[in-house]
Amino acid sequence: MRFKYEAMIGGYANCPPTMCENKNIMGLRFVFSDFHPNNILPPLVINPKRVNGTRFTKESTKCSGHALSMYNSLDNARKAYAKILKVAKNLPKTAGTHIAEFPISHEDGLVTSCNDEGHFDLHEYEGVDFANRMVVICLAQ
Amino acid sequence: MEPTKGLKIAKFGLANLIKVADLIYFDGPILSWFRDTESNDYLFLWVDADDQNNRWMVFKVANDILQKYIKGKITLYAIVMNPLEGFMYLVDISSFGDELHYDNTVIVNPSILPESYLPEIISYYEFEPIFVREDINTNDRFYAINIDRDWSLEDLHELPQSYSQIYSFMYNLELNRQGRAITARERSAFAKYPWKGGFSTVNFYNDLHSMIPAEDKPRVVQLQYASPGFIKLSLHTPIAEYIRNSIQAYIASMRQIDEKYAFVMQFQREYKFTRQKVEEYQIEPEVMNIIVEYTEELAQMLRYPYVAATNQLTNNRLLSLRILLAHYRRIKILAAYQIEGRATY
Repeated sequence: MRFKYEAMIGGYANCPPTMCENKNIMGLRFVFSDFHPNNILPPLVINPKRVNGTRFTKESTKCSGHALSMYNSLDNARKAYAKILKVAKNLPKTAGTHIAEFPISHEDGLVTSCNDEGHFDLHEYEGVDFANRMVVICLAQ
Repeated sequence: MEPTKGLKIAKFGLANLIKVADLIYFDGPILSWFRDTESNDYLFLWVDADDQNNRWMVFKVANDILQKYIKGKITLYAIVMNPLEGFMYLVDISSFGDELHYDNTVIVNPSILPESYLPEIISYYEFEPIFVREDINTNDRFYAINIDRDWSLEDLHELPQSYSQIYSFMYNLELNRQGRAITARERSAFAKYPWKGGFSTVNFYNDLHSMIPAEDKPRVVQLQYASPGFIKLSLHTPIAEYIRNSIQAYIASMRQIDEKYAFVMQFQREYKFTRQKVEEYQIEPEVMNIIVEYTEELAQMLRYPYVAATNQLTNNRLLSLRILLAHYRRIKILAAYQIEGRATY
C-alpha cells in the first residue's frame, strides 16, 4: 500500500517506523467543529516550509510531521489539551476547539505505539479520507 | 488578534537568536528557548495567531530561573510577570518562502498584557523538552556533543567521565540484548563488586570499558571550545543515541525520578543494604518484592530496557537495583549540563 504522503516521506529512513502496525483503534484528535481543512492534515502538510525548521532536523521528526496526531482516549486527549492551555490560552485558535473520534481500521494506515501520554501517530494510506468519517464528540476543554 | 498596547519599535532586534530547545510543543512550538551569541537566554512564548501571523511574547530570562522552571520549581507565570529586563516584546511572525518576517514589534510591561496572553498562575513545567542538536559532520562513526557557555576544568573531567562510564555500561548491555554471548569476565564485573560506592564503582566501569573492542571505544577526534563549541567523538553511534534517549527520559520526568531515587535510598538505608554486599538468600521474600518493584518503576521512568539482562549478569536483584541507581546518578550529571544549556547530546 502506498502512503498518502509517499512523495514527501519516501526519502526518509525508517518512515513510517518499522514498529508501526495496522490496528483497529479509535483515535481522538483536536479539531474545529465546523469543516476546517486542518482537521485532517498533518502539520508538515499544512505548512511544508516548516520541514526546514529547527523542530524537524531529524528524519524521524520529519516523518512524524507527515502523520496525524492522535490520542488513545478522551481522557488523555483532554489532559494534553488542558496542560498546554495553562500556558497558551489561545491554543483553541490554532489547535481546534473540539475533540473528534477517528475510527481507524487496518485499511487506513499504520499507527505508532502510544507514548506515556497516550499520543500516537497515524500514517495514512493513499486514498484514505477522514473528512466524512470523523465525528466531533465534545469540546476540548 | 488582540490589539496590543505598548511602545512600538521599528525593528525586532532578536531575529538572529539560536534555538536551544522547544520546551513545549504541540504540532508546532508553543514555548521555545533561544540563546544569543553572548549566551543570554530568551523565551519565545506563542500567545496568539490569525490567518497570516503568529504572535510571540519574547523576553530575556536568567539561566538559573530557566533551570528552575524546567525542573518544575517555579511557574511560567512567575517568569512572565517578572521579566529579567522588566519588559518583553510582542512580535508578529509570518513566513514567506523560506524567510521569516517580523512585524508589529512592541515593547510591553507585563502589567498591560492581555489576560489571554498570560499563563495560568499555576503553570509549572510538565512537558518534555526537545533539544535542538546541530550535527557537526557526524556519521555512523562520529558523534558530536555540542557545548556552550562556560566550562571549568572540573566540568571537562566530569562530563567525559560520566559519558564514558554510561557508554561502557550501555554498550555491553545493548550488545548482550542483541544476542552477544555473555563472557565470564562480564559476569564477573557485574557480580564481584560490593557496590558500596567509591573505587568499586569506578572499577566496575573500568572493567566494562576494557571489554569494548578498540574500534568502538570512545575517542575524542576534535574539540572546539567556543560558544557554541563541540566535542567530536569516534564511537559506536547507536549507543550515543541510547544515551541521548536516557537523558531525555530523565529530563522528561525529572521530579518523579529524583523523588523515587530519594525514596529508594531511604529504603536501602533502613535495611542497611548500603553498608555491605547482601546476597539474595539473605533477603526476606517480601523485601525482595519491594526491590523488584522499585527496580521496575525506576527502569520504566528512565526507559532502561536492561533489567532482565542486568539480573542475568548479577544473579542478585538487589545488586541490579544498586547498579541501576548508579546509572541514574550518571545520567543525572549529564542531564544537568543539558538543562543548564551547556551541553546538547
